[in-house]
Amino acid sequence: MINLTEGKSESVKDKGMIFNIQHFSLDDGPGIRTVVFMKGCPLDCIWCHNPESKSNKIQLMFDREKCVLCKKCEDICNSRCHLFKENIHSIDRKKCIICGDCEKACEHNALTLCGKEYSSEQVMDEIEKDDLFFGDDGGVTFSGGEPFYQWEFLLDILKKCKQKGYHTCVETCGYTRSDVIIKCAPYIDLFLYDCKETDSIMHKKFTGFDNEIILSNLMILNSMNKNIVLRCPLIPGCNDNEKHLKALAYLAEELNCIRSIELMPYHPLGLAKSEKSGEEIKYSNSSFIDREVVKKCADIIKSITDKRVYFT
Amino acid sequence: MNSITQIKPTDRIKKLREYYLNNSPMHINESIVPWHCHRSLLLYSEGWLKYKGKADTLRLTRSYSEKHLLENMNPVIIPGELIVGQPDYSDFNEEEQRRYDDIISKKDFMPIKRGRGDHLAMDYQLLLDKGVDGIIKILDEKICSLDLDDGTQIEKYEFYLCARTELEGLTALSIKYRDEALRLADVSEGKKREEYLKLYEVLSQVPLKPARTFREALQSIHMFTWSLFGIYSFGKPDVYLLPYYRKDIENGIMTKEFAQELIDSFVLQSVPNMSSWAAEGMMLGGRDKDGNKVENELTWHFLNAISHTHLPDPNIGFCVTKDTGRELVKFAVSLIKAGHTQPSIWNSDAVTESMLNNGYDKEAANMFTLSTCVEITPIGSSAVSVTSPYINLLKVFLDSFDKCHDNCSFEDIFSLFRDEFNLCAKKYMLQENLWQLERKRNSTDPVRTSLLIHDCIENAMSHDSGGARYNTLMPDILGMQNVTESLNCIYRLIFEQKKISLSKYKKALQSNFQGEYQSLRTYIINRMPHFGTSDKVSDDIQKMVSDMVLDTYKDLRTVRGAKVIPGAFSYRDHELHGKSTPASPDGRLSGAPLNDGSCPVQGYDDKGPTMSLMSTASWEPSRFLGGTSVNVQLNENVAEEKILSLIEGYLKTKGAQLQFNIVNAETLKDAKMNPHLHRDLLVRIGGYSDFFVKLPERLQDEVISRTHNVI
Repeated sequence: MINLTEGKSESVKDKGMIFNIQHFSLDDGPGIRTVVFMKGCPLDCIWCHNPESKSNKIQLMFDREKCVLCKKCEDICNSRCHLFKENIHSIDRKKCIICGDCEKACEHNALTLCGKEYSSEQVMDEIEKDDLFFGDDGGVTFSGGEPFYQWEFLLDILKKCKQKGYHTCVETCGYTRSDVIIKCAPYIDLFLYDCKETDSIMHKKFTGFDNEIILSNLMILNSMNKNIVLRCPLIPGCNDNEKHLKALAYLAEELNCIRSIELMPYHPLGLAKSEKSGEEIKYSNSSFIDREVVKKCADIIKSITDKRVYFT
Repeated sequence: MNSITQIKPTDRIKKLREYYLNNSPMHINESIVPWHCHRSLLLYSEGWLKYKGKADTLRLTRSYSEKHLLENMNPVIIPGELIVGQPDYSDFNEEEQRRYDDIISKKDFMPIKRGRGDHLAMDYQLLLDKGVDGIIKILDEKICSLDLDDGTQIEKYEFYLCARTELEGLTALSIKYRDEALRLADVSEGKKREEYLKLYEVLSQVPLKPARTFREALQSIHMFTWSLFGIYSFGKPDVYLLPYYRKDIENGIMTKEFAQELIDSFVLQSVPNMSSWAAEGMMLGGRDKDGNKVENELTWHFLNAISHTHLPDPNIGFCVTKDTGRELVKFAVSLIKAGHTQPSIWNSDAVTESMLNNGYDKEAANMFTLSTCVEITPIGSSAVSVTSPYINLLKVFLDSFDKCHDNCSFEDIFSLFRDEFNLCAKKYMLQENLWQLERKRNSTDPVRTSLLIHDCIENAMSHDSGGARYNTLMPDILGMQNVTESLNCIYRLIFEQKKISLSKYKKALQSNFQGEYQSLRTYIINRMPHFGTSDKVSDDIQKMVSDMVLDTYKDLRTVRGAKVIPGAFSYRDHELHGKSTPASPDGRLSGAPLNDGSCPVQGYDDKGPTMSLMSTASWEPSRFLGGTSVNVQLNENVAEEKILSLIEGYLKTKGAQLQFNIVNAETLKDAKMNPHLHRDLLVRIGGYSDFFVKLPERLQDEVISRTHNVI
């Protein structure tokens, strides 16, 4: 059984697992936006740039560069997770019970808990602080992780946002149940919809799952006449090939709902985060993509479709 | 309107800018009187020595000295100038040097200035309508109407006589300039000769006679203002210059392009006439005295001059009201985005409301201007005393905290602070009032200024003596956000988390957070919720502190019977006062700068500008008419629409002023290392702009340390 969403248990519904609420975000939708980063994702992309968002559980993050080896964490930890050997601080994550004691003891912010339970009211309180600055086009973006992974919680906040008149935007990988998409879509003004790989077999190779559900959800949104920006990560050696790029362009041509295509060039910043959260690194490319290469990829798409193609 | 923004700076403007900046004045550190050049100091002093004891009153001695200075100044006309008038910065000849050395050795004779002078916004209408000759005529009529056999009239007589004396000096100076233009025409040929002849024609008219054209109007107000050698605001030029502009355009005697060149020349004059300790200012947009929206060709022209001149001065404010056109605001944003640091954005309606609450009448409250930095004053009717004095609130707080002990509650700590501030504020007020008394007797600002301030002529009294309609005294509070942050840390660490005792906290401060207390500081910086992140607890504390400051001054009155309304900005003084302030509970180390302007502590507002601005809005800065400056530092890649949304959001609050630095930290760091490559890099300090490379190193570091609000 594929776990598309977190499930329907009542206890989870009122609270959501959030790992960051970012104010004054400029790159996740139009205008000034508040971005709610929701924790937990059904996919397992090898290049994930937010690896700490994959699990829907609270995680201990360790930033080695900030650690001054004061050992205050070792003193306070009852589970004896923190080990210091020859001036190297390591964490035995199997023993860690996520009590948060070491986070409180660490003055240098080297140890932090990633993920916090929020009620929808608490999330709204944070969003409303930015209210005055949304202007004509700004608003709220739900990102992750995968927002639909906690869809009941998401739907609750989406409704509250629409009551307030906020522009809403969801950044999704599209891998969720179709009824979830249909229920939530009326409250979403703009989708930032990932298309990581157009070839289903390759999709499975890179993300763990094939892309049929994702494409079928995209069709549903098209029939609902929603606004979609197709977001396409550009990963060297994975999906930077002509076949995929052309397929993207044809997809954009075929579907009216797709307003534009945003190419998202790979960046290696996720590597450091993997190390911090103790995740396994499956794609260890440590270089940025040359802008000329990105431009060439954009040109391939542009040769087929007149829709706007851009990248940052 | 777009046709105005399409106008580009002419070669003349580019060359003049270059010339002025390469020959920019070095102000002399003369504690007696802050003259702009050695020669002015020399001439005024010689006047003083000449008339001292001979003139019948001390006040008359000052006016005679002013006259002596004006009469003996050399006219300076730089090739290509359209608007003329600046001090003579050329080196002394041998004879002058001898006289100067002699004067400096006798400097004890010089009059002492008490309290903060100038910073006024004059109403130039009388000058434009009547000219200096016309005003002298009015003064003569006033003198003739006095019954001098009645001794009670003598104070009035003295005022008119002083003003008249000074205007005689201004007349002499104006004639020298006129003649110099003619002389230059005589030795020039072709187009140059024509230009000088045109200049001669303008100077033959103004400032002595009424201004007939836009160019004459600009020349008239410039000649009157620069020769005051002080810090003055031009008020709202897009209101009082508009009839001249429209008439000339309609009559076809001036093109929009030439109007822009004239305005650019006028604005550029701030370079030779101001050095970095001083400022000129003006306010654009907003409302006129009847409350109508001001938004016309001149608003666009003057804003356009910002991109043509790219200077720290004059300090140009742009008032935005509910009905200001969006295109105009967008144009202002494009200037900000381009890194000019100007204009500063003003919340017109919130300021007007605050002025009405403080007893200004409607006309004054609609037509306010910055008085060169960020102090708010009505135009042409106010003898405001700004930053009188700067008060280091953090120092006051630390003194009170020193008296606290382990049994003190949070309320006790705050109440001891309130008492300490009450004492301090009143102590300073006593001194300010004595200084105002001295100024009342022997007004130290040039008396001719009063001729353009209502109702000095009618009252026959200089603005220093109380002749003006409004006389608000404005002390300025430094380090308010350091105090808030300190109280926030004390509240949370001592009372909420019980992490440390009060006595231990005091020890940490005494040790300057060294040794065993280093980790406390790290904890404060990294783990405390800070003011500036829209955090409720610290926002409430900041409101408490700001209310307390305003309450303290509520019932105080000045010698002139006027209100005391504080400001909360810093100019450059956050750095200066920080030097002598020991470590504070907010984690600030001994000697470090105080918070910049009215902003949260540097680096603590790390949740982005929206949260920072909401925290600032929560204490309603427009209540502080003495001036607030809210600095937002953004990266160069922030789109204009997003800056616009920030501005429009903040304007919905009770905030008063907003200014932007659009610059990357890397650029600033590079400018510090390689100043020659960044000579034109402008940054906003607490209420004014300056060239980054000219700032002292500590102030450069302060600018770099502010939060960069882009992720």
